[in-house]
Amino acid sequence: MLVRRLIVLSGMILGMIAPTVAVADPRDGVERSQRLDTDALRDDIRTNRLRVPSHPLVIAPQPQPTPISKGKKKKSASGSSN
Amino acid sequence: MAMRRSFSVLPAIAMFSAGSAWAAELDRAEMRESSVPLPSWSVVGSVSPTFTDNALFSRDNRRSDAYYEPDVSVRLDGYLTGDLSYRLYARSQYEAFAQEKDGNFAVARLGGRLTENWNGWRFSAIYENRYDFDGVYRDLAFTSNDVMGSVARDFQLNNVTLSPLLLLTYRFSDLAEARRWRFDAVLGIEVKLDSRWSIVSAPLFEAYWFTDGLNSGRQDQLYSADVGLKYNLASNVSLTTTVLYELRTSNVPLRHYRDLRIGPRLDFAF
Repeated sequence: MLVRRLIVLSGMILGMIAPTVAVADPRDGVERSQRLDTDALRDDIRTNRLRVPSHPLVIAPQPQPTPISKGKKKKSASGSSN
Repeated sequence: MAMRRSFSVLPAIAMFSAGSAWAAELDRAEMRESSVPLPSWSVVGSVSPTFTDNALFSRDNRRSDAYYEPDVSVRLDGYLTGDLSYRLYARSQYEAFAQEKDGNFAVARLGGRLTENWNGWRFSAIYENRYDFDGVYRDLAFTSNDVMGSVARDFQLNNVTLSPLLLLTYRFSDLAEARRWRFDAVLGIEVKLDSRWSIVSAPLFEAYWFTDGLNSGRQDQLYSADVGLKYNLASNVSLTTTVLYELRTSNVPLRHYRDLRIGPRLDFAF
């Protein structure tokens, strides 16, 4: 008799706990995500007031051929023949 | 699978960035003539230790704790025309609690934004691909795609700056409970005391309409008010100590909560 009561009691406790766990599980992440999203919005408002230093994406210009004088050209040509 | 999807976004962003850079190179001379700024990159963020009297944002199980929250973005900003700007960004944000480790959570975002300036008003369309993690990037909880539209403006009245913002979001997610509409109305207020000190506040109202899963039909409303003292360390770095009160109501009584938060916050832009 006592054993049967204990089984019923433990069944009731498990029955009460199980739905709580099941309900809490998929929505907990959503709750926490919601809080971070609201904080992100507040962060945006504050950081928008800061003056961002300029870092332009400057593409390196193509290397231009250096102007070569006639005399140097001759020298270079003679060098290349060696 | 979700991570694979995240990696599939990266080449698209890389192509977009490369395309922008290529266009910038081709048109640099024209852009200088038309005074459209070149694309630029930046690292912007906030770091804060905060005390909360409701770490688990629970109605009944209130627990005080302190948490650390970094929120850092890497951005690429540029202009398509004089009035139309774009932004590509990657953003990392998490909360790490000192005691209540169950509250730890992290978000990684990849996004793009188009903003049209019209008579001082900024109209934005934003797309965000995001990954929500239990713990500090421990287990992937769900992935989502947010589609947002916003309108904002700054008003300057003597030493007071008012920055109203309206934002509407729909979240598509692989977790049914996360799908929802969200509406935000925020008024950023800054009262300059001198060149370095300001009093700041950002009263905020949010409404959520959950559309699927166990949350289907749930409607939340969040009200918050805060006041802070800001010190500008430089034009791109500021330190703000804030006291914030937040209250959430819901048509699901279990989702009611209130929360008081106090803490300093360092904001930076490089």
